[in-house]
Amino acid sequence: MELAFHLRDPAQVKASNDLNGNLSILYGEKAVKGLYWSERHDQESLRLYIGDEFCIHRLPDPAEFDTLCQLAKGENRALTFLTPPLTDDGIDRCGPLFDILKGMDRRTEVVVNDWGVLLFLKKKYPSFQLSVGRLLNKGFKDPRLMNSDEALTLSAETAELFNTCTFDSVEFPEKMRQLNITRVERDLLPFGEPEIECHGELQSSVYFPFGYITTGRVCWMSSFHTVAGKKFSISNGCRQTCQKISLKLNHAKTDLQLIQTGNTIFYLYAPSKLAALVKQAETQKLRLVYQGLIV
Amino acid sequence: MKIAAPLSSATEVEMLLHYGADELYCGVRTPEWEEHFGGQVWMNRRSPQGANLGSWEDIQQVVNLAHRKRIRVHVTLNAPYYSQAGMDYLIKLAEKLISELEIDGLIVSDLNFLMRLAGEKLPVNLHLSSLASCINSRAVDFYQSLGIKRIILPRQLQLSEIKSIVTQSDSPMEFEVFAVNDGCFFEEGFCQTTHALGGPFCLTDWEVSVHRCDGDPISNVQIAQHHAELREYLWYQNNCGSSFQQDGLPNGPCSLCWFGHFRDWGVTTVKIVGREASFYRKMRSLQVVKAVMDEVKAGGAGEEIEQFARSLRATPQYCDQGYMCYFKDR
Repeated sequence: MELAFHLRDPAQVKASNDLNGNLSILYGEKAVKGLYWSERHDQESLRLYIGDEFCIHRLPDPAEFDTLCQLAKGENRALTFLTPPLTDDGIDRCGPLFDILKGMDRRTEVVVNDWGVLLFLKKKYPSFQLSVGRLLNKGFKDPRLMNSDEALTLSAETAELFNTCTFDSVEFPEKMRQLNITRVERDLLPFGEPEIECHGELQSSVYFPFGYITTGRVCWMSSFHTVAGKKFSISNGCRQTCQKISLKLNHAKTDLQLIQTGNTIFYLYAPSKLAALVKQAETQKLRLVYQGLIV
Repeated sequence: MKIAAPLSSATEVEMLLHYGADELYCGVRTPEWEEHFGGQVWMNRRSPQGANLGSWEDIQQVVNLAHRKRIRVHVTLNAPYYSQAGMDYLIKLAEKLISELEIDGLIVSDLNFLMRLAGEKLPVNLHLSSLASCINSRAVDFYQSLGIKRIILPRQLQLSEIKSIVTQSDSPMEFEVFAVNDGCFFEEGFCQTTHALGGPFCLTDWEVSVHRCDGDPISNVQIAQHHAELREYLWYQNNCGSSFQQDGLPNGPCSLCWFGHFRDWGVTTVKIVGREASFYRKMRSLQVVKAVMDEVKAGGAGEEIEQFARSLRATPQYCDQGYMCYFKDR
């Protein structure tokens, strides 16, 4: 198992040393005690994830980015830079960040959540190791399905649909081989089995303890301090309210715990799913990416 | 520029052709799909009953009527994700739609399904659904390499971003842009929910409260106020409560003001949204789009088109409110 932590700012690196403490806040101490963590996830394997998959406004500026890179260097931790879907202008804006990343060691990765960004990086920065992000991995995650018992009453074809996603299709690994991609990023499907299928040479990074449900460029939170009529527009700037506030969403139609951070809605894995994931990570050499510090 | 119009019944074809549709698009439902996947997994993005043609004869009739006027018919197979069993079935369905009914194009989103279709080398045009979220010009090259001939751009773009994608492309790619009806709060290509479970996820009446607050405290009253504004925004996005102006033209999100720019940038087609809309709404949507398109074809400048489009809106207060435009830069 390889363990990684997604950080927003350098101060969070301390919190990354207390994974069980962080998880206890979300699950309670009793549930966390039952998790099997390998003794072997030493400093060497504690990779840092920086950047953001969902929103360009949450990417660090070049100075902050450089600080995070230096932190990883200083701690001898490998680095993964998460990028969101990007417009042409967004790709240009990320140029200085990619240039900084060019100077990092060869363990450094970039996660792409946009096929255009992938082509751009392959051409302009051919030395980068690229991983395909979870926004390019489609599957069924609507929390209003109520619960997994309901899914079990459905046909075999429907159950297959709830249990699989883009990355699981037989066509996908071959396309990744053609593109020279060796890693994909993913999360657990809320109504599927917790096991991650491994396909060919493709390695998997699995985010925990949250999966994402939906996102978009229109942001509830960035509009919070905007005047009526100007809200919910993608052309407004952003005051990064999401760095300080997150929301809970409740409804009788779901028993999942839903949390909104910025433009994205996440669900918390059930304790049993998390436990199964941790166990599988050990035997199948998955990388687990902790995102409890940023949601 | 052409107008792509939606339909969900063969009885709508003559009306759509009469009022100026240049292309038609539709979805289909089949008993085999419903038998295997049930009602909660849709074959395409829209409701089987409300938005899709239900019999082979209906599809045949639509194609025959359209082809008689040399109008192309495109079929949506654009669910964001299909399982292996789903793709196996849809490949056979696609072959039948093409070989027996001679449909002209398929609108697809799922990457694996697209790769399989491309591998089959079927004699049909492949269009990329807005659900594939192509938001930059480099992605155009990616999809072109998979055999895509047209890209339907998503709603969540600014005007300058549309211009960049369309004008920077060196390829012979066609581009289609949303014209009227039905907004979307989330980016549909990244939204892993379904309308099959009681409607759009964003219209569900969530109870919202603070989970974490590290800065100035935020009260539940403030959240409730902001949420009320969200509901107002969603009302606009939902075609202003599916309402019409007094003269019968439809209210709702649109890009009519920007048609002149679309023409100048090289956009191929504008799309009327709403396969599940009523006969009347489809007709009135087409009429308003056609009226603006006639001005575009007459060569009016961008500002003139904008003025003309605004003059058709008998509810300028809706436009002024700021929530009616699909695409904005300001």
